[in-house]
Amino acid sequence: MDKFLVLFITFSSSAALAAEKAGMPQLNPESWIPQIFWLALTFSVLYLVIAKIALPRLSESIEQRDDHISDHIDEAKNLKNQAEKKYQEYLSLIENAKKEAKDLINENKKKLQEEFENKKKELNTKLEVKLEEVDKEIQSFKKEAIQNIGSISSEVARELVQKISKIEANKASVNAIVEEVSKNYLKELN
Amino acid sequence: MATNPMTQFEVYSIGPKIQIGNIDISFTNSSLFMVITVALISIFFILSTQKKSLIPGKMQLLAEMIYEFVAKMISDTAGKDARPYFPFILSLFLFVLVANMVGMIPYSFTVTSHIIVTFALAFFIFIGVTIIGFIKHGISYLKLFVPSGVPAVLLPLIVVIEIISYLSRPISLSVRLFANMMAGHTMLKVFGGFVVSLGILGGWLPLGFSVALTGLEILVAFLQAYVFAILTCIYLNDALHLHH
Repeated sequence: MDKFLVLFITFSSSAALAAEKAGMPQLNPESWIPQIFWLALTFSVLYLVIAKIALPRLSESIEQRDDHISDHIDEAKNLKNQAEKKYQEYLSLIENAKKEAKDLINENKKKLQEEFENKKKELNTKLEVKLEEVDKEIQSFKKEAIQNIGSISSEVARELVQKISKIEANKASVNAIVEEVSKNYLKELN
Repeated sequence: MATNPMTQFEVYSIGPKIQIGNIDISFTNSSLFMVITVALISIFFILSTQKKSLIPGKMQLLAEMIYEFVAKMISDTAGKDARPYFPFILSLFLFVLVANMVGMIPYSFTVTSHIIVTFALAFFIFIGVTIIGFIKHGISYLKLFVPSGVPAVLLPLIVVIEIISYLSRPISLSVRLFANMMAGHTMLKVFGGFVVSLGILGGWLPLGFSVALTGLEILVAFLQAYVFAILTCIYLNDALHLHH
């Protein structure tokens, strides 16, 4: 391998020397070694600058930006979800409120109905009681009236007798007569 | 100035003669432009990435665009496994690109127009990729030369062709870049020479050509840097994932 390499180099450099004389400075082997040396040196420096300074800084700033952007996107997504949740909450709240209102209305309706019924019943019983009372009163009035009629009529009769006949009629006898007459009258009436 | 279009490629020592043992490593105009290239890239990246701001300025934006351009190129051609080689590919791309572009400035020197420079880079890539391939796959990396689904009769021929094509990778890679650069700059020089020799009367046509060629050469300078980097990615992909 080494032999081959040496052979190759001597061959190519002798060929290059010939070409250089024909006018191509690139093929002058004298300039090769310094060029290779300086290429290696400068390229190594460039590689170090790129690998140790430029790339870390660049990737950091790019990553930072990507992070920033993705953070914002995440935040936006989060906010959107929250808004969605809030909206659903709002919807269910409205739904609940509607239901509650309906229930309330129904309940009150029922309550009112019941109250109304109760009041009606109460009133009815009160009325009945009152009617009965009134009835009794009337009845008692009737009785009283009849009794009073007896005494009044006996009084009237006595006065009549006194006015007409100028006789001081006996109170008891007048009463008896009136009672009998009224009894008869009542008998006829009944 | 010299009228010979090839004198622009001459390498001459500037400054003192430096020697290590018998080896001459004097600082030449070629070395100077390598240093300029590396300095330009380094200064640009160090300055542009200093702030690391959330909303990038113009320089930072450009640096990030280059970063993402090369990152995308690598992930598209060599996949995620090539991530550790990202600094190298980026350095390579930038070095070739900036060296090509600096070479477009009149009276400057084009580092990449020298076969030894491009060959050194290509050979380094070739050796590196081969080592990566053997480390990753062991001896079965040799399966690279045996494509699947080939009839047994053709196999010896195919294997020979595959080996030759593999071994010629550094040559094709380096010659492509070197030849493009040298041809373009020679042509520019030739047309520039025509402008001078034809004078004020006839020089307008080659001047127009020169302007057009300069535009074309800037395109070629970018394109060749891109091709150099993407071919490196493809070779790396072969080493990382045995497709055959």
